[in-house]
Amino acid sequence: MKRAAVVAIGFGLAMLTVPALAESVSITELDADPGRYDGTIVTITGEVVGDYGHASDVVWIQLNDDAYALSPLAETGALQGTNTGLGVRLAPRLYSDDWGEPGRSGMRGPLLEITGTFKYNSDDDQGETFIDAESIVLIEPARQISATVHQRLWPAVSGSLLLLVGSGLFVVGRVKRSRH
Amino acid sequence: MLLKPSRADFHRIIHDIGVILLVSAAAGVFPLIWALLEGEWYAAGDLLMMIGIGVVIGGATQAFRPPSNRGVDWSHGLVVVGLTWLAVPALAAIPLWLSGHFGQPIDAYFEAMSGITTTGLSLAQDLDHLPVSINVWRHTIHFLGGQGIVLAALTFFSASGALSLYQAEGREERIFPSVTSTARFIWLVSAVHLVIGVSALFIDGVVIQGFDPGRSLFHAVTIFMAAFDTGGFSPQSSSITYYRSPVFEAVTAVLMIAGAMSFGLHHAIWHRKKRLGSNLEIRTIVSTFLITLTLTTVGLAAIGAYSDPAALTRRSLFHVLSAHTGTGFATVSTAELGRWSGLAYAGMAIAMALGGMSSSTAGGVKSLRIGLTVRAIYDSVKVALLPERAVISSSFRQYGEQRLNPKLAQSVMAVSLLYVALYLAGAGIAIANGFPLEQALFESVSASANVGLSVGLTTPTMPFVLKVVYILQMWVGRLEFIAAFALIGFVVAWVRGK
Repeated sequence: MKRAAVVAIGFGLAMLTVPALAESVSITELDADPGRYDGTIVTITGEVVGDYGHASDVVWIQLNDDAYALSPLAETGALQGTNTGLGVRLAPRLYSDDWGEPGRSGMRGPLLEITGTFKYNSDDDQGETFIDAESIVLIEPARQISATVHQRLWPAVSGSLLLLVGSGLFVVGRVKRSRH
Repeated sequence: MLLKPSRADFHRIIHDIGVILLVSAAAGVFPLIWALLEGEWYAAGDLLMMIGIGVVIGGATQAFRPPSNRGVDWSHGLVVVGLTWLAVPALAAIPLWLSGHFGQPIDAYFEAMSGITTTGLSLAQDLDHLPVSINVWRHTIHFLGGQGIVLAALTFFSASGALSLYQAEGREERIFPSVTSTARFIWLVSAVHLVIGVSALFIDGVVIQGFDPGRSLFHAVTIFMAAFDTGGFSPQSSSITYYRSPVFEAVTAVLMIAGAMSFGLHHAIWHRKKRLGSNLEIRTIVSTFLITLTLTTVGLAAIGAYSDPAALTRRSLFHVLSAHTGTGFATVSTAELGRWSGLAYAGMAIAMALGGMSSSTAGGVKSLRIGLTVRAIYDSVKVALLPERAVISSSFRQYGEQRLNPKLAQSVMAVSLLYVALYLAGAGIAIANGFPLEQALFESVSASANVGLSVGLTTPTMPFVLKVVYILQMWVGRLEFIAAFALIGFVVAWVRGK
């Protein structure tokens, strides 16, 4: 809870530093009315998930601003719907190794505040929809989620026992069959 | 008079389902190894639980239910297949449910049914943080279902009545005289595609997209299984949009086409058989693909979705391929797909409804049935126009000259009509639950034809009744009705028979 509060305050402070021109929006808002934001400078805040795509002259990342960015499922166990994410293209100079690993199982990816131009079905980019990043603020680097709500041994123990019993039954069946 | 199934009937059916559950549980070893390599210990436990339950049930059916000497006849084959396709998803759902990424057990069962029927609709929550091994399991389910669970079992366990089981799973053609040889050929084709497909996707991931090699292999393996088996699951929540690579899309498109081709056609191509272009099924699928592609492209141009012709062609081509092959991959968001209205919507919905080739991993009505239906209607019109005494002999080419007799025409038209009825029934139930017609019809066709494209109706918060309806649509659509009807008949005979 304490950590979530600190991150939430970080989010709030980050909002205050957003350049005056940039409109702070959620990915759901962009997705619902992309024409309205096409070509405008927007700011989105969220977690990098999946991979860093170090292509030849740019870096591609996927930024999710869903509930799991602030409250990782593995920590809270609370299901809050599906992911909402958007691709972000950035110049290699904007990328930093300090961010840490992207979000995956057991890993909360870095929280970034990204300001850039929203491009919807962009003609110059083979119809892609994404944010062309101009500035990036690191709110919190990636961190390992060590204590997860799914740490339990019973499936492994019962699974092993069942496997043993099942294998025995299978062998008995085969022996019976060969005698028959 | 209905004959009540005997004890021996039940023994035989339980024995065969047990064998298939054993094979399904064994498939869990692949993601289990992956979990151990990734150090995902708790996910490994969840997978072990599933394997254990599968082996106990399978082992018990072998130990306590020795099979009678009688083989499997056609109706038994249908009942076994019908039940198998309900039981295997229940087993496959265990690690999904234990992962904590599904709100209710029915969501996990929905996911497993969607996986096994190669549909690709998903109710997973926070997919982007799902353990890698569980994600690999979702895609392995696609592979298992796409190849055919029964086919997989027949490869390892010879069974009397193998042909009945094989055909009951929706595969009509026998490439070789023996079912086991045919099964082996199907695995060989799949293995060759696996090596080439995974290598191409892996190289694209490392060289073009700049992923690290381990992750690139994960993406390559999972996307291969979803593409070649025309499934549609993806390891990331944003489907193929995640990759932003024309090369990756092109490789995926080739795999989708290969998956939607019948294994008979694969065999013909491997053996360089000539005059394949004159086959009714190939001509039909090429025609319907071009028609739906034109509709979608013109529709997208009309709504002004893309002003760049290259972007327009890339999006429409990929999505029509995805819809027609029954894969369900997308390179636009669900909300964006929902904005495709008018002709674009029609093109996509028709492509999904028609489906791929018979005896392939694709769903839908299937091209051969469409071609035969059109031919039968054409003949009927001809009969009406010609003098009464005129004799019309109708034939078509499908790996040789074949006759279109009234019985065959009737049977293909009946199945085609059943698909239409299934699409409309699902849409009607969604409308009754308060969803608009366009969304309801799109999602119903997507579930019944085992496609998996969504315009946003399939979510974890959708009504419970709709989850059940889509599960049934996926099941009935994959089994092409016959096995489902046979199972219902079997239950009726058990209850009311003498």
